[in-house]
Amino acid sequence: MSSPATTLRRLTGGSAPATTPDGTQTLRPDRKKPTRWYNLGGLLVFVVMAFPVYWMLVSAFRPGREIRSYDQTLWPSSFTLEGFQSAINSNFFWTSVRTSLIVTTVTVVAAMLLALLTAFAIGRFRFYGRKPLLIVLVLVQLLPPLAMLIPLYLQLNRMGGLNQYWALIVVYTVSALPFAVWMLRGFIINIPRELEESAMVDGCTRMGAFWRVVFPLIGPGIAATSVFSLVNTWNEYLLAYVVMQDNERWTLPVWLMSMTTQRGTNFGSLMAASVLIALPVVIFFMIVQRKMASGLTSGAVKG
Amino acid sequence: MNRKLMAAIGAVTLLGVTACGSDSGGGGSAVAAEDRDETLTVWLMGEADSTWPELVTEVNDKFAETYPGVTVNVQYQQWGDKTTKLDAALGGSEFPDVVELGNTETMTYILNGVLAEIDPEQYDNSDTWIGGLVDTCSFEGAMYCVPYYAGSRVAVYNADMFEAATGSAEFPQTEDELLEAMTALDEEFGEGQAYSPMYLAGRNWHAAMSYVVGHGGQIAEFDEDSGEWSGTLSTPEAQAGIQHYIDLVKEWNRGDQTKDEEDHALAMAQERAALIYGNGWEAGVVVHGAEGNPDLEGTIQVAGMPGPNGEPLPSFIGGSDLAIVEKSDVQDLAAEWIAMFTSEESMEVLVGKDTLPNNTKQLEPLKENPTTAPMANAVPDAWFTPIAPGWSAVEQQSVLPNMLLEVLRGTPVEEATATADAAIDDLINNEA
Amino acid sequence: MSVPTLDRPPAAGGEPQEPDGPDGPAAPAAGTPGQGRGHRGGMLPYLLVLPGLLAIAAVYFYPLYRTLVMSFQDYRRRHLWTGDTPDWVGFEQFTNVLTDAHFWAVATRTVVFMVVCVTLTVGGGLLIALIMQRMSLVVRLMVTAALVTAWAMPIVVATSVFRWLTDSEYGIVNILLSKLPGVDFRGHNWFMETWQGFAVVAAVVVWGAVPFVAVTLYAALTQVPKELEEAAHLDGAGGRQVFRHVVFPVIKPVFVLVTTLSVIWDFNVFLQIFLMRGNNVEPQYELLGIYSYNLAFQSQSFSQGTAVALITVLLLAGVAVYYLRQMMKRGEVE
Repeated sequence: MSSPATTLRRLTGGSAPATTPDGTQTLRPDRKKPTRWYNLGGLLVFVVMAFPVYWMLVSAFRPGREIRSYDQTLWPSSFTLEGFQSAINSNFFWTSVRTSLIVTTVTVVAAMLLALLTAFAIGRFRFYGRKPLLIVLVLVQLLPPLAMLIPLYLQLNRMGGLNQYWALIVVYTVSALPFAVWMLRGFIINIPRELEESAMVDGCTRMGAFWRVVFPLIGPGIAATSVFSLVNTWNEYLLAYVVMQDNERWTLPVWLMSMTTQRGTNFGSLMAASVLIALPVVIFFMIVQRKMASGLTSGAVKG
Repeated sequence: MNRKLMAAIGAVTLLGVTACGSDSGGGGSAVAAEDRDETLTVWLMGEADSTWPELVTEVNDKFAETYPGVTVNVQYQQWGDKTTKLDAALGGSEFPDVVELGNTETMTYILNGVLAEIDPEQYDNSDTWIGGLVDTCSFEGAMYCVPYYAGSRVAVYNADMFEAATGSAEFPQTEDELLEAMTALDEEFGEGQAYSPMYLAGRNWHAAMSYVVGHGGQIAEFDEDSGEWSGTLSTPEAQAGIQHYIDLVKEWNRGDQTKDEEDHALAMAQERAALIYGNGWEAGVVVHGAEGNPDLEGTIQVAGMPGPNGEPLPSFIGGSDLAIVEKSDVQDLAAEWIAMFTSEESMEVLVGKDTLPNNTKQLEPLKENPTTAPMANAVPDAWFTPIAPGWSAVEQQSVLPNMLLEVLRGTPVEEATATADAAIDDLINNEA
Repeated sequence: MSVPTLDRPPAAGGEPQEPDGPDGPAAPAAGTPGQGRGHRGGMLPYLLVLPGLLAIAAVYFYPLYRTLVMSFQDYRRRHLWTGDTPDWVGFEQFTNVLTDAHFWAVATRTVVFMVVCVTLTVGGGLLIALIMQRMSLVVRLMVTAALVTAWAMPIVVATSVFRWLTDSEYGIVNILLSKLPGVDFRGHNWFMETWQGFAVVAAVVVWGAVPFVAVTLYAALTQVPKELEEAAHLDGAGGRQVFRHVVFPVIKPVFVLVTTLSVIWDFNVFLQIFLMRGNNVEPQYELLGIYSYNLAFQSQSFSQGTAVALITVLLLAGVAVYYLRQMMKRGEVE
C-alpha cells in the first residue's frame, strides 16, 4: 500500500543521479560566460530547498520556550536535547521503532527475492504473456492506493491480519514489487548475455549461471532498488494507520502523526521526532547515490 | 424523538442480536475467576493517559487480583479519528471489548446493535447517575453504556492578569462587565504581541452552540407529526447566537482563529490568553500539564461564564460513557472492569482532577468547593446535542465547525446556517 | 524506467537489448541486433513469474474487484459490522455522484490544483536542471545535496515541517513576513483563505517533487551532444534558439515522461492535505482522493467512496494510456 506515486517518483529518478551525483560530469569549457549569475541562482535554489530541512533541525534542538516565541532567531542560539528526550520518552516510540524495523527488513528482503525472479524471467526469456505482464506492472502502479483501502482492510481482517506484522509485510512487499521488477529488469537486460552463456558452457545450469554471473553484477542495482522499497515501506502511513490499531504495533509514521493530533502540538518534539524518522531515510538515500555512481563507473551497469 | 423509526430499528437490531445468539458471558461462569485466561481489550481516550493514568493502573492491578490470568490491554485513542477506527475495528475480528464513547457518539452505535445491554445494578451509584449522561445511554428503556465522567464548560481565567488590568481578581458576573474587562486587558497586555484577552477557538462548536442556546435557539428540533428531526440553525435566535460567538472570536482572539479548542490551555500556559472557555480540569492542565507553566500556580481560576441577556452562559454537558461491545466474548469481564473503573473510589480520583463524577451523590459536595462549584453548578442548566439517530454523522462530518469556519471566512450567517441546516437534515435521521 | 533509456544513445552501439517479444511490434530503430537472442526457456519463465504474479493478483486485483463490486452496491457501516450482503443498486452510486454539484466542484478543483502543481514542478525542475549545468562545482554539489535531502524526506515529515513553518502563531513564515515594514502577519492563518491553504499544500507537494524532475532532467541534459550545441552557437544561434532547436528535442522524451508522472502524482495528492488539516478535512479542501475518503469514512457510505475512487481511476486511465504509449514508442515495452 505504499503510495505508488512516491515509489515511482523515487524509482524513476532513482538511477538518474547515477550520472550526475557529484560532478562526474565535466564542466563545459565553453561556458566562460559569468557563472556568477548561475551560481547565485544555484544558491537561491539551495536556500529554498534546504531551508525547511534546516528549520526542522534548528527547531528540534531549540528549547521549548524559545520555540513558542516571536523572537525565534534564524540561527541556533541555544541547544537542547529536550525535544529529542521528550520524543523518545513519549509513549510507544520504541515499540514503533521495533515494528518499523521488523516490517521494513522483511519486506525489503522478500520484495527483492520475488522481484529478482520475475525480473530475470522478463529480462531473459521471451514467453507468452510477457508483454501484458509488463503493461500490468506499469498499470497497477497508477492505481490510487485509496481505492483499495477498504477492500484490503476487509480481506486482511478475514485472514486475521489486523495488528499483525505479516499483514503490512505482505501488502508492502507486493506494492514494492512492480517497481522493483521494472527496475531490476533494466539492470538485467544490460548485462551481456554472453557472460551467462559462457558460464553455461562451463557447466552451470541456467539458474546457476544467473546466481553466479548476473547476481553479483547487478549488486548495485539491487542495492538501489532495495533502498527505494525500504524508503517507501518506512514512510507508509495510511494502511498502517488503519491496520495497526494496537498502539503497541504502530509504525513510526503513525506514531509521528499521533503527536500532532494530541492536545496541543509541541512543535519542538515533533520536529525532533521528524528528524529521527527522516534520518535513516536520508542516510540510505545518500549511500545509494554512491553505489549507483560506482556501479556506473565500473561499467557493470550501462546503457 | 422519532420513536417509530427508532423502535423499528431497535426491534430489527435487537432481533438480529438475539438471533445471532450471543451468549454474553462467554461461558465464563463455568470457569473459576482465577482460571480465566482471556484478553480484555479496553479503548480509552487519551485523557485517561494524560490526566488520570494512575487510576488506570490501579484498576488494572485490582482487576488482576481477581483475574490473575486475564490480560488487560488498554489502548489510548484520539478523539479526531476514534470513530473511524472503531467503525473499521467493529467490522473485523480485532475489536475492543470495552470502548469509551463521547456522550454524543453513543446513539448511532446503540441503534446499530453494536453495544451490549448493561445492568445498572452492577455499578456503583447507578441510581444517582447524572441524568444527561443516562439519556445518552438509554434506548427503549434499556441501558447500553455506563456513564464515566461529565464535563461542563466554565471560564478558566488568569486572575493576576484580571487584577492587573481591572483592579479586581474577581471574575465579571455579566457579559457587559466581561467585555469591559476585555478592553482593559487588551490595553494592559495587548501591546505588540499576539495576546488574546479571550481565546475563543473559531471551530469550538460546543462553545458556539452555548451562545445559540443562550439566545433561545437550538441545533435541531424533533417534529412529532412527521417523526423527523430537522436543523434549526436558520432561526433568528440561532443565527444571533452564532453571530454573537463569531464576533467574540474575531474581536478578542488574536491567535489562529480557525483552530479548535485543542490547544487553548496551551495559549493560557504561555500567558498569551487571559481567559478561555473550557473544561474545568483544563485549569490544571494550564499549570501542571505536560506543556504547562508551573509559574502560574495559584493564578488560574475557574468561574461561571456570563452569557447573553445578563444570564449565565448555558453550558454544554459533555462527558464520556463506557460501553461493552456486543460481539465481545468476555462481556462479563468487561462489565466487571467497568464497574471497578467507575466505582465510587475511582470517581474520587477523577474529582481530584477537577473532573465531574458520573453521579449526583458525589457531585453535590463539589458545589461547596470554590474551585469545582462553577462546574458543578453548570450541570443543571446544561444543554445537550440532539439525541437523534444520525447525530454522530453530523459530528463526524464536522457540519458545525465547518459552518463556523464559513462565517469566519466571511460568508453571511444566513447563508452558512442554511447550508448547515441542509446538511443536518440530510444526516440526522439516518441511523447508519 | 526512464533512465536506462536516457543512457541509451544510438552511439552506445545498442549492445544490450531486450529479447524480441513474440508479440507486438519490434523495438524501434535504436538497433535490435541478434535476432532470436531471447530464450523461450520452456516452463522456467512461468515458474519464475508465478510467485510474483500470484502476490500481485492477491493484493491488487482482488481488492480492485471488490472495489468494483462495492460501487454497485450500497455498502454501509452496518454491512461492515454485521457481514450482511448489501443491496445491489446498479449505477445509482455513480449517478448520485455525477449529478452532485459538489463532485464537479471537487473535480474541477483537483484538475486546477494538478495543473498548477505540475507547471510549477516541471517548470521549476527544468530551470534548476538548466542552471545546474552552468554553475560551479561547489554550488552544484550544494544544490545536489539539498535536492537529494528534500527528495528523501518522508511525506509525513515534510508535511509536519511545512505545518510548523506556516503555523499561525509561531511559524517562521509569519515571523519573517512581519519583519517587512508595514506588514503584520502575526497570527495570520494560512488556511483561512482556501487559496492560501492550497498554496501551502502546493508548496509541500512541489518542494517534494522538484528534486526528482530536476535531477532526471539534468541527467537528460548531459546527453545533449556538446558538439551540436557548439555548432549551433557558431552558427549564431541565441541561447533560446539553441534550447528550442537543439537541446529540447533531445530531452523531450524525458520531459514528457516526468510531466506525465507528475500529472498522475499530483492528481492523487492525498496525504499532504489529510495531514495538514489534522486528519479531518473540511469540504473546502477536498480533492478527489480526500472526497472519496470522506465519503467512505465520514459519511459511512463506502460504496459512494469507491464509486468516486473508480471515477478517479477512469479519469487517470487516459493519462496512463498516454504514458504507456510513450513508453512503447521508445521501445521500453515491446
